[in-house]
Amino acid sequence: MRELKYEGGSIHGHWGLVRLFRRSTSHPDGELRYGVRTLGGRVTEFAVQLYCWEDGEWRLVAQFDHNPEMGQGHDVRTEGVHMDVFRPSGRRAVADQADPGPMNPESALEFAINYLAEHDERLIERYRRWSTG
Amino acid sequence: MVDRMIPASDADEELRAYLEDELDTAALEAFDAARELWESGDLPRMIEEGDFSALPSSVRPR
Repeated sequence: MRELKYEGGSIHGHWGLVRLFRRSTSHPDGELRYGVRTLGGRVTEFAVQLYCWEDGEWRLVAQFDHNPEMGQGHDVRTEGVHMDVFRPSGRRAVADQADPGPMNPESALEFAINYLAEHDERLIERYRRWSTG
Repeated sequence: MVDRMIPASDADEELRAYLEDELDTAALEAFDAARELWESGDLPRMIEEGDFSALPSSVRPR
């Protein structure tokens, strides 16, 4: 799903159906974006991303994803949920993870949305400290 | 900035409705189980304590 540019709406294909969603956060400059791909009654892929508005553009702060079909994608069924944290340079920082262990994709999707919605302020403020530090 | 103003509740309801159409019963139950865990405070408590041993089997991979 990471190859998809975020535009909102639905994307259909032979590989299933992708729906993209977004919601505001408690942080006034934050936004949650999530994409879900389903096939055969199961979640086969998702990405849940926290963005912040900084210097006139949306910047990726943190991301959970389940993407077992991509070579470097994560698989929550075997690895557990995995959060990538990004620095202003775009480089990945060492993540402070809350890892409940392997979960099924549907539960992991809900976990990721709730986690980023709960921790948005801390994550965004730290991202901004990195910007000035 | 204009397209940011999407109420959280609307996005959540849209996602839930989409999943209800797309997922089988077991998958939807797993999704709801994770939400219930979070809203009850059990999952935030597990994160705080770093102990996930009490996670129910419904959220574990089959």
